[in-house]
Amino acid sequence: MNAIIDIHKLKKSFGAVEVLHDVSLSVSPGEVLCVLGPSGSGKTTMLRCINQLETIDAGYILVEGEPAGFTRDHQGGVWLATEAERAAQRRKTGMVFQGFNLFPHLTALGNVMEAPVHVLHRPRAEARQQALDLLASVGLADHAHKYPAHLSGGQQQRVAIARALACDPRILLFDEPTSALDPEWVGEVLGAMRDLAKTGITMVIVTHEVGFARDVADRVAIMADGEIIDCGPAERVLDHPATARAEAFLRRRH
Amino acid sequence: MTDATGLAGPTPSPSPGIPLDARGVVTARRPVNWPRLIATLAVLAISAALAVSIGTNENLHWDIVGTYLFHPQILIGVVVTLQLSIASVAFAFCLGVLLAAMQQSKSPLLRIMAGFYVWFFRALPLVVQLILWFNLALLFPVLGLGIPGTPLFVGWDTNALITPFVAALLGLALHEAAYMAEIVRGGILSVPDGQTEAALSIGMTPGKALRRIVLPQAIRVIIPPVGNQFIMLLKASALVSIIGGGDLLTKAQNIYSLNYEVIALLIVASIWYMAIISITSTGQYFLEKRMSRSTRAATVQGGPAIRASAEV
Ligand SMILES: Nc1ncnc2c1ncn2[C@@H]1O[C@H](COP(=O)(O)OP(=O)(O)OP(=O)(O)O)[C@@H](O)[C@H]1O
Ligand SMILES: [Mg+2]
Repeated sequence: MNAIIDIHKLKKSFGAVEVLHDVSLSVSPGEVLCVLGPSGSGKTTMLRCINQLETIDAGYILVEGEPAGFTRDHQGGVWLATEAERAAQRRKTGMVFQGFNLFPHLTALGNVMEAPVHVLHRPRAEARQQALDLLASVGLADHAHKYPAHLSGGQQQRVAIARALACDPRILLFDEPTSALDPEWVGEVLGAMRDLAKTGITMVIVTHEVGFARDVADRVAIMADGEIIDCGPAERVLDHPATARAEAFLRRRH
Repeated sequence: MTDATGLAGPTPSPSPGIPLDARGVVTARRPVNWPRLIATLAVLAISAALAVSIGTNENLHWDIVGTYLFHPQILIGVVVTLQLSIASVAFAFCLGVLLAAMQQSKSPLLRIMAGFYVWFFRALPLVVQLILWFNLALLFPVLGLGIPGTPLFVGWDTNALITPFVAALLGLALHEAAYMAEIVRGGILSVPDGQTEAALSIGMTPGKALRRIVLPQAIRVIIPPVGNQFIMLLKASALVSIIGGGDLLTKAQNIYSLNYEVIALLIVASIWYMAIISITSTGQYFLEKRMSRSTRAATVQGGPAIRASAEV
């Protein structure tokens, strides 16, 4: 099996507190993996480690076969990656944040064009057309020229999805993309994610929406206290959790 | 149930004897506020006495103030003061951005050096620094490029290089940069971490994230205090007169050392300082108002209030 993300015995501590203990997980290309788990179990931290927003303390993460945060030379020696190399590695994974984190000084279009123009140095006209297409694909063709402050939460989060797609990543990471939304906007964001899942892009989605996970996920992982306590096909994990802790968590969720 | 006007209960009947004007507003007389009246009169009396004693003072030659107000030397001084202030605020700003970036760096050495710079130039009085720069030749008679222990490739006579103007510029700018660094750092810290993280996640290096995403947002927070610093610098620039910096005060002193019209020329200088600072403060006021407006627009992003109001 050729995993697109391979997390191997990942440990992460904040100060003296270890919040991830030997987390191992692999994701196949094109797979949609939903990560569930109680608050404080380390879901966000794991996602941030994949995207190198946190440094890892032990273990490794392979993204498309390359160790995140490291480079290999011709002799197979492993080096700490430079900032430029890390930036190039991050480009392979798009990230959608709980709080959107749109750039407030740029329009929706500006947010989506930022990376193609200023990171990939694509011609402006081409980047613009691509960005408009992306915005249209999340249903925001009419809002391209609005600033984030003038968009609803659901619209902002869809702009954020378009922005994450703009560098043509093969992997999208979502950290509770609907938790900060008023209930009325949740549906449209989940809808955009459903459409995305059909395109064959690899998705790792941290979420509290068990129903959504059941519909969309190929596999579900359940985290608790910095460990993955169950992981497998969505139906199996949600209906017949392997451990008592996973079962207890899911019962509370329903 | 309520009645058609939406008010429950009996409507109060108009009480008799309350005078109303044509619009139905109660007309009432205001009682005299004695303490306030006395304070006002006292302040007026003191101001009038001061104005009269200054205006009619035989030793104060208003006609001389008039003749020197637009004297070519004074005008040159005004220009030099403006040049000094603008050049040092610009130089200080650039250095301040650099220092603030160093303070954000992952390298402890860079952070310590930036911290040391800020500490050093804030602890050293500006006047002392100005005199130091002016007398740099005592420490290094020749400035040049070269490898220690070998002859210089190129060298200049320090006294020729460090003119009073250059010494003044160096002193003001290096001093000001320490304050600018703190202002820029505050601006950078005012931008949420999520902005940097989003920028990194789309493949920017930390440096590019700072330049393209963080600084453009920080600038709204940075500009108003920078305006303040500019006004302070305009006033502080008068200090360079002690090294003969050629600024407005230097020129006024040069003239009164010849004609002994000390007070008249100080008044000339004061009028110019007050005029320049009034104009700058007005500009600063409008700039600040604009900035706070756009800051408010930017920070409501994602807040429930705007989400609700944007949809109705
Ligand atoms: N920057 C940090 N510094 C210190 N501790 C942190 C930091 N970030 C997270 N933690 C701690 O690490 C643990 C895991 O946090 P994490 O945010 O990954 O949990 P989570 O599963 O995403 O929870 P939630 O569902 O509430 O988002 C928590 O105990 C949290 O307090
Ligand atoms: Mg979280």
